[in-house]
This record gives sequence, C-alpha cells and structure tokens, in this order.
Amino acid sequence: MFKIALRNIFRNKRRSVLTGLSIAVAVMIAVYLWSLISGIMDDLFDNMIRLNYGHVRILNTDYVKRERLLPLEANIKDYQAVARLADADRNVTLTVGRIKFGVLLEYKGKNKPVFGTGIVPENESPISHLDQKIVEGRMIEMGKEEMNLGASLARELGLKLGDTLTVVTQTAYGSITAMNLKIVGIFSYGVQSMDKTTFFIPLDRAQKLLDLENSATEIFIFIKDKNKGPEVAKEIRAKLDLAYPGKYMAKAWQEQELLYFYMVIARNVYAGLYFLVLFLASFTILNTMFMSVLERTKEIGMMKALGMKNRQVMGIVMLEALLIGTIASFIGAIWGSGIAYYLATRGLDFTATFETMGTINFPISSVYHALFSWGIVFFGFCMGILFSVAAAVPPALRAAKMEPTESLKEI
Amino acid sequence: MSVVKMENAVKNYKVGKVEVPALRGLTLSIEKGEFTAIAGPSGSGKTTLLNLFGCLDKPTSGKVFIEEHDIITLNPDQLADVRNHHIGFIFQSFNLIPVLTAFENVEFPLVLLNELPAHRKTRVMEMLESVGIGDLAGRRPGEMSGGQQQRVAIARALVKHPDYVLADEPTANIDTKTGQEILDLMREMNQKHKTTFIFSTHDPKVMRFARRLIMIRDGQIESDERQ
Amino acid sequence: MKKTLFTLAIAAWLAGAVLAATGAEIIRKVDENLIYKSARMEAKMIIHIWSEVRTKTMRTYQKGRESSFSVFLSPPRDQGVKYLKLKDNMWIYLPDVDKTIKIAGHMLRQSMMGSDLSYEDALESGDLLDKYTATLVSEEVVKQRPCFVVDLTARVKEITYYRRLVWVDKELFVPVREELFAMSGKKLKVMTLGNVQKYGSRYYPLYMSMRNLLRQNTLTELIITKAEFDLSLPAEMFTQSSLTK
Repeated sequence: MFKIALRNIFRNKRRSVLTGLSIAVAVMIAVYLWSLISGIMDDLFDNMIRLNYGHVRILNTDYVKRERLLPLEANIKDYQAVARLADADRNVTLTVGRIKFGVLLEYKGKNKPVFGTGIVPENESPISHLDQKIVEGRMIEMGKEEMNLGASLARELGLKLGDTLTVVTQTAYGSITAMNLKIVGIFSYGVQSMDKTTFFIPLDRAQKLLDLENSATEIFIFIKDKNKGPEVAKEIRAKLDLAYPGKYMAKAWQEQELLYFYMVIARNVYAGLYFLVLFLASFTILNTMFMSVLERTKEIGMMKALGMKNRQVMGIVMLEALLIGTIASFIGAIWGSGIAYYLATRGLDFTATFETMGTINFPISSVYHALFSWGIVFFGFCMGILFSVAAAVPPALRAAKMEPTESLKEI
Repeated sequence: MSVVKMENAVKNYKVGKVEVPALRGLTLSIEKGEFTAIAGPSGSGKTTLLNLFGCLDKPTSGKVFIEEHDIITLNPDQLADVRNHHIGFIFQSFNLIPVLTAFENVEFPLVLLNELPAHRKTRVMEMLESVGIGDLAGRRPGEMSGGQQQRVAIARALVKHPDYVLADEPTANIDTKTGQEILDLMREMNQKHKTTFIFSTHDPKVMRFARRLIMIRDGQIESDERQ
Repeated sequence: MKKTLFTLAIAAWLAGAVLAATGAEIIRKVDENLIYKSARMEAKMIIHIWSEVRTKTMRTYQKGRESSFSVFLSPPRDQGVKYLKLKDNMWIYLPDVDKTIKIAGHMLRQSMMGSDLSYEDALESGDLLDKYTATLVSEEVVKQRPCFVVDLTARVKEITYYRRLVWVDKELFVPVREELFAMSGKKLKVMTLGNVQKYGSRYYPLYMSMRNLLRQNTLTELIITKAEFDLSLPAEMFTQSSLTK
C-alpha cells in the first residue's frame, strides 16, 4: 500500500514537485515569520515590562483607574518607607521610585506633548538601560536641574546638548509650575515611543517641580526570577494592606491587563497569519490531489473491483499527501530555520520606516531580531504535514466514492 | 451447483429524468467449471450483466446469488469482501496498476486478503510461471506488450483461486494471434484449476471457442447453448 | 371678550418686563456695591484638597472691574508668583524660571493655583448683563437674611456657565450664594459669600468659598484679611513690565 502511494508521487514528477514546493514555501514562510514575530514580541514585551511596569509595580489605588491621565495627586507619599516593605522580600533585587508626568514642551514656538520621568539615575540601568543608551553627553545627576532627552525629540524641537529648556507643567495640586533644565545628555533607544516623546530628569527635581516632596507615582520592583512576579506581588500586597489598608496596591507584570491584552492580540494576529499561509498552500494540495485522483478514476475503480475497501482507497490518497507533505515540510522547515537564524543574528532594520510613520506609542525597537527556536521550526514542520493531510481529505473522499463499475466502462 | 446465478434480475439506469432499462428480468445460472461466453451487440445489457455478476453493482429488482448467498442485502464493504474472496477480474484494457511491477500487480489481491508475505511470494511466482511470464516479474506494465500485460492480468485474477473469473472482452485490445494464445491460456487454466470463466465478447472466434454461449439482446437472453 | 384677552396678554408681557427689569436692576445694584475704582487687598487662600489643607497668602490690586495684579507672598514655593489680568488676558510670572506665561486656550479652564477657581473664573470681567438676561425668579431666606433669587441665562451658547443662580441680600445688595450651571443643566460650581463689612455707604463680603463639583472633596476658601478702597495706584502697575519687577 505504501509502495503504491510512494510510487504514485513519482508518476507525475512535475506536479508533485510543484505541490511540494508550495508546501515547502508555506512552511518556510510560517517558520521564519513566526520566528520574526516572536522576536519582535519578546522585544516589545521586554521593553514594556522594563519601561512601564517593572517586574512588580506599586501604585496608589486611585492611580490605577486613571493611569492614562497620569494623575499626580494619586501618588505614593513617603515612597521610601513603602519601598522598604518590598525590599524586605528576599526575591527583590531592586526597588526604585519614579514619577511620570505629562508636559507640553515648548521651544522656539514649537510645542509637543511629551512624557517626563523622574528617575534615580544610579538605579536606572536595569530598568531603562539608560546608561547604555546615551549617545551624546552624559546621564543626569541627582540634585541637579538637568535632563536627558530623546534624540528624535531633540531633533524635532531643534534642541542640542547644553541648551536649557523651560519645562512648564502643573503640580500635583494644579498650580502652574516651571523649571529650567539643562540638556546634559541625549539618548537613543531605537524605540520611537522613547526617542520621540520622553525625557528624564532626576527624581528629586521632579518632586520639586511637581510639588511632590518625598513622593513617587510608582515604585518599580525587580526580582531575581521575573516568572515569580505574581507570587512576589501577592506577598507585597499583603504587607501593603497591613501597613496602608486600601491605599496602595502591587501588581506583577503578568497581571497587567493591558500587557495581557496586547499579548492576546499579538498571539491571535500571528496565529491568523500563520494559518492563512498554510491554508493557502493547502489549496495546492487539494487541487493536485483532486487532479490525480480524477485521472485515476478507472484505476481506482479497478482496485475497488479487486476488493479494495473505501477506507483503503482513502488511505492510499492520504498517504500520498502525507508523504509529499512530510518531505516538503522538512525542506520548508530547513529553509525557514535558515532565514530565521539569519534574522536572529543579523536583525532587520526598520528605523527609516518608523521615522516616516510618526510616533508609535509602543516600545518597539526599530531593529527587529527574530527569535530562533527549534520548537518553532518543529511546530512549522508538523503544521505543514497536518495541513497537507487535511487538504487531502476531500480528494480522498472523492476517490473513496468512485464506483467499482468504472473499471468495466469502455472509454 | 451454481457459482453465481441471478433470478429475474432487472436493472434500470436513470438518464436525466428517464429510466432506461438495461436488464429486463433476466434469469441465468453459471455452473462450476463452466467456460461461458456472453455475447451481444453494444447496449444489449452485456456490461450490466457483468457488473451484477462481478458484484460491482446491485440489481434494481430481482436477486443475485453467489455461492447461494443473496448479495442484495450487502453493504459496499461486504460486497468488496465478496469480490475479494470469490471473484477474479480480467479487463479489456488490462487495467494493471502502472506504478507496480508485474509481480506486485499479481501480489495486490493477496495483499488485500492480508496473506503473509512469504506465502504471497511463492503463490505469485507459481502463478507467473504458469501463465508463462515468470521471467518478466520485475517489469512494469509500460515495459510489456499487450499480450504480456493480459497474462499478468490473468495471473492476478487467478492468484487467489477465485470461484469464478469475469473477463471483459479479454482479447479486444490485442492482435489475433496473441488473442488466441490468451484464450488458450484461459482454457488451460479452466481445465487445470477447474476455474469457472465468464467472459463477454463480440468476437465470433471467441464465441466458437466457448463451451457455453449466451446471446443477449435488449436486456434479455436471446439464446443459451452449450457446445 | 377678545379685547379682554388682549389686555390680559399685554398685562402679562408688561409684568414679565417688569420682573426682568427688576432682575437686571438687582444685578446692577450688586455691581455698584462691589466694584470700586481701585482696591488693595490682602487675602488668604485656603485650599482643601484630598484631606490636605494648603494655605497661600497674596496681595491683590484692582482697578475697576477689568484690571488686577496679584503677588503671592507664601508659601515659599509660590512666593513671588505674580498674576496680571488686563481685560480678557492673563499672564503669570514664575520667579523660579524668570518667565512670564500667557494663560490662553485650554489652560483657561484649568485650576488656578490648585484652587477650585479656574483662570477663567478669575478673568471674568465686564458687565454680566452684557452676556446674560437677568430675571428675578423668587425670594428666599438664606442664613436668616431675606434674599432675591436672580436667574441669569446666557444669550450666547459659547460660554462656560450657561446659567447662573444668584442669591442677593435684599437689604445689603451683596450676593450670598451663587450656583453655576453648564448648558446641559449640570451644576458645576457653588460659591458662598459671607462676613459682609460696611465700607462707607457700601458693603463688601470678605469671605468667599468655592466648590468645584467636578473635583472630589475639594473646597477653596478666600478670606480677605485687609481691604482698602479707592486709593491711588500707579498706572504702570497694570502693565506686563510690572510682572518682572
């Protein structure tokens, strides 16, 4: 039986090669596309976690509901005392207070809504890797009226190193407030949402500017194993509830609805793409198998006349598809993993594209690196086979339905 | 004892909305060891009769018995089993599986019967030898002449020792001389193995060669004579 | 019969006109009471916000209803912050950065110094009767004082407070309460006034409280600690150059 199926493949070599090629290409695309998208997503989530959430984040309960508005009044008073609660946990490697605020930045008649963040410069390295991202000048220092500005933003506003910028905003209590800040460093993340819309100032200056002495709007907590986020968050929550009932809350990055929401969307989108590619390829199989089955009407009739059962006829057709599918998927998986490996090591530069697209509010890096994993390759291989076999079902059913009387028909 | 028989078999085909009768109440019995030719012009119902004898189709009404079993009640899988165990087929255009060798083609019915490989091998070789093409076992149909292919087909029909063999115009596609050889071979097999042969034909030579000649016209038996 | 109906209709229309005249009359009398050629005041602004109390002190100079100049004296964070209002314009001087900022556009509706007052509230100048139709709607007693209740409904649509209800002390012609509404009918702010003092033949409330109902748990009190009226003020005080001085 296997012999028949195998030899049938070589009956019409051109057709089998074309079918195989379309499966191989589909599997290749599926494999490298998934590697690439996984790479992008991992990068995106890593950035999102580090820049927006920390592994665990403490917030004022009121802040959570209105986070988009950056409500300064819903802050963490005496944040160092609060941070110490978390520090006691042995999983915790770093706690750091931050203040995030919105500003309408104005310079020489141009203005732009941007986000300022008050940071503790010496603790910033594991969070935003700011120390590595400074392309010009140096990092800000605590106690000084200085800022680090995104490269794209600096270019847009025509600012350069050494310029002093007046930042005008509202305090937590609603008063107008302003501060002159000297640009001592310019950073570039290759992430448009960072480079185009953010600046950093020392936390103590942010506290002064915003009338938030000793306060922070959020406390980022970093732990040894980021997968333990929910456990650590739970422990910290318990401590917070004891010390400040109902006032503050801690959330692990895994518990961020927005992050989760993006993850789900991303997963669905790329699963959709993935299966679309395979689905299209499976149409070729459907087609060629139909053709070859219809061509063999008399032969199949004869086999049934000799006593072959419907099930066995189906089996032969499916086996044929399985063989082509397996060989083609194997080749496709190898090609795909080659491309994925190349993209993982070399990366794909999209900087120019993003520049023209304007600001994207996502911490997506402009240089994509694919994520190379044998799991993805193997999954692609399996899916190629699965789709090949599934596509062979209709032609196989058609073959099984053929009448044995066909064998006696004169042509 | 009859190997296959039909009683008052009627077969109608639907052509569009019209029912066209192919067999009009035909009663016929084939005895064991007979060498029977069924003749008649095109459209006489010859092929339909063969379909019913071959268990490839069921009659619209009436009965078909194989080894005294009524096939009317059987489902497609059971019919396949009946064909598998009891009937051998020889076709006008040989109808070998083109991707398989002569050996493998003859082996095919035994594979369907789930015979053991070792057992298969001796049976197939014996059979190929007895139809005179033992040396062509490794050839594919495309590499053989029409006569050789038909010999393979005969070997394939007989390898499982069927109760009877249905041959549909077995000599129509080969030259006269080879046709005679094929007829001789079938006769030889008929005598050697006591295999029942039923073949359709409209070749007068073939009709003369048969031990029993049944003439069919308009779906009914016109004449039935034993020689 | 017809004639009687006509007479009645005329009478009703006249009565309406009389009521409207009375409403406008009351508002005009209030303005006469409160608006001085010039004034110099010291005031304490107490802002109750999210269970915190923040006190600011300031000195304000006013000229008529259209010009004013204020300097914040405390707390240290706000010390030296100056506000200048000229007709419909407002500037803030921030000493920390030595910069003057013009309040315009969306900033106008924002809170002034974190209080329940917006810049727009502070800017309000000109005659209310230019924009609103005043109607005396009823009389009520508020804090043992008999009051007129005057309804002010805007004649234009592009206005923050489409409708105002003002309670005016019948005897002193000082407002004691004001409610401000959006066009949708939503109540936006409630203001109360008190501690009415007599200056010559006129009366002036030295206490004001304002509650912005769009914010939660906030209240701003303004207590005038010192008030002098009709004094001579240098004209250059009400120019932008006085901000940086």
